[in-house]
Amino acid sequence: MLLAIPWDICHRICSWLPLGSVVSLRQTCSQINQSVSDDKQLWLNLIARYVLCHSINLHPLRTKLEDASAKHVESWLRCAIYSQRVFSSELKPNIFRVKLNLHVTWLKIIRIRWCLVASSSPNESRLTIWNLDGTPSISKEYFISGPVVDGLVDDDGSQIIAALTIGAT
Amino acid sequence: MSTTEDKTRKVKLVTSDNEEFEVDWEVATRSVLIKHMLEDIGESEEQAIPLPNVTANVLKKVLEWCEHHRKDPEPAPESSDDNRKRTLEIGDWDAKFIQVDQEMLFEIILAANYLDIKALLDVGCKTVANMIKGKQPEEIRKMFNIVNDFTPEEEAQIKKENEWAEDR
Repeated sequence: MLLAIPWDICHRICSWLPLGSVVSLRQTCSQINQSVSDDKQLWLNLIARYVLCHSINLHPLRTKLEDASAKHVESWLRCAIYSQRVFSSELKPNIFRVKLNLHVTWLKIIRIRWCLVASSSPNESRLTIWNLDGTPSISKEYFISGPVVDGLVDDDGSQIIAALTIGAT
Repeated sequence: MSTTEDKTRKVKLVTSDNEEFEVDWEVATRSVLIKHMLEDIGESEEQAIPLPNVTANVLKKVLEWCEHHRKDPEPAPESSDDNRKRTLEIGDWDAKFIQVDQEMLFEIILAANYLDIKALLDVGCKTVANMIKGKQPEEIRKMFNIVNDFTPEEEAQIKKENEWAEDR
């Protein structure tokens, strides 16, 4: 009977359900799963109930609301709930010790996903991009002559541009 | 249309199975659909209003609700920020009223949706929400006779994808 009623009524029913029950319901069969996954308004309502009224911030670099799909909105909610969980639990920081011949002179975290690290001696610099997704690992490394003394990162959502200041020796 | 006249006015409703109901204007106009239809017809006509989507046994039940709630104030227009004060609680009378079998419950919901009786629709939706709340997927399937059409692999995958929201 639940499957026979129009989705806008199921949408109303879902608006009374906690998030945990909405995801239990979507796991019952493919038809309901599809309808829940495609219901952008449902996810926006859940964001209003679970994120905005608790003063949690949404990811600042999200897609524009009018361009966002239901999947996008769901991912904003997931992201907000993850970050809230991390902030509210007393997690010990993960410490990774890296042996470097050079001193770290500049560091920048981008989109909570990558970390740009410049380590320099008076003659040369090593620029590494760390992937912070899961266990941090180096995904790219570059060598530059001269020491990096400063840097700027510009992120407009579609591309990231980094500019480095190389000091004179 | 003056209010004094409205109080005494009777409205005739005809169900899909051709049963006729005569009810007070105040009771019938709990339904926004009927209210608008009456406004369109005008007050001169003694015309019966056809309700092709509602059967007599469901309309009887819906009218019982309308009768009890005839004096309720007009519901406030739906606003997007009423999310916060939403509770799943149902008033005592409504809770007793909605103690029906599942088929009738969904019939009432569909009728309330068609007749545009928001407060009754909410009672029905909240009742279904209460049936779903706190249950595992398998329990929900059992309750509503939903056939699990996922392969075991798909089921495991979808369970994993939804873990982030499970305890909310």
